[in-house]
Amino acid sequence: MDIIQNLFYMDGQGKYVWFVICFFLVTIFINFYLPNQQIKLIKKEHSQGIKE
Amino acid sequence: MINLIKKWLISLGSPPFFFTWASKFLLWFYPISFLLLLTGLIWGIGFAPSDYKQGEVYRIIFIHVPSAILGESVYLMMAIFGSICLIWRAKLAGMFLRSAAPIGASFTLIALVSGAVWGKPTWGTWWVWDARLTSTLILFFLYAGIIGLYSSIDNKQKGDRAASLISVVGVIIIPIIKKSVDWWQTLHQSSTFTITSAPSMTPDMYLPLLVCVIGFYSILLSMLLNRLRAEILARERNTSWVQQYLNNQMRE
Repeated sequence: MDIIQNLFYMDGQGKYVWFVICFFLVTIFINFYLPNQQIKLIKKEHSQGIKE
Repeated sequence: MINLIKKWLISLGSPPFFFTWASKFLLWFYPISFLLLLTGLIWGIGFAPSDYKQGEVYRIIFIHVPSAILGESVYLMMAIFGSICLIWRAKLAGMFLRSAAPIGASFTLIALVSGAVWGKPTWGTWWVWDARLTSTLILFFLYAGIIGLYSSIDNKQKGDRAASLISVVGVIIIPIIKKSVDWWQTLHQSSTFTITSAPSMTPDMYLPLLVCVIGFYSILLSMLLNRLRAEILARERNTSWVQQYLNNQMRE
């Protein structure tokens, strides 16, 4: 329990470290999410075009 | 053998060949890149010893340094592909520029934000107009300029050429960023990674940082290939091979 508490609290500096980690993960996620959405959209438009 | 490699490299310049190759490559490279990144981050954040001066906050280094290195590396790559686009007018080079700019901007932004957050407890301020920080901010503006240029020019070829020109001219910022800590008196510490000298950190801090840098590079490759796939599909959507690919995808 102490180990987990230390990992999050980090002597009062955890807020800085964890903010940076979260910011990094969100940015990475967006960079994977957007192109995948673009590919999905192209596929969707193609399938709709065929149906029409 | 050299001829075979040469032939393979030349064929990579063809969008259909590149698209197929990238799709197959990413299937097994995605898990490797995520594993490398996670190993580096968990090692650095959870197991590396704390710094005797800065305490725990120094752990931001495991994100800040690799992001800064990548922000500069992506711009260097863009300058190389920009020259290829200007000289040989290679289609794929233009697509590379458009795909790489948001990724480079993201890593530069991560470096700036993490640096600011690290600066508050160590320097007592979020931001100073220091040479290293200011030159990195200019790099971010260059990326933003290229992204803006692409969204404002409808003609893809013209957009590619304009972006290539900015990438080639703007590459002067990279040696300025690199040397800023030597040329001017700055608050920012000197480079963590140098090719010519041994690391000043202990191995139990240096090794996880090295794994992080490798992990970040592999994530960069995954992101780039993924974005390039989307860009190729978007630009070549009216060609027969893309129509064929989309039909096959529909059947699956």
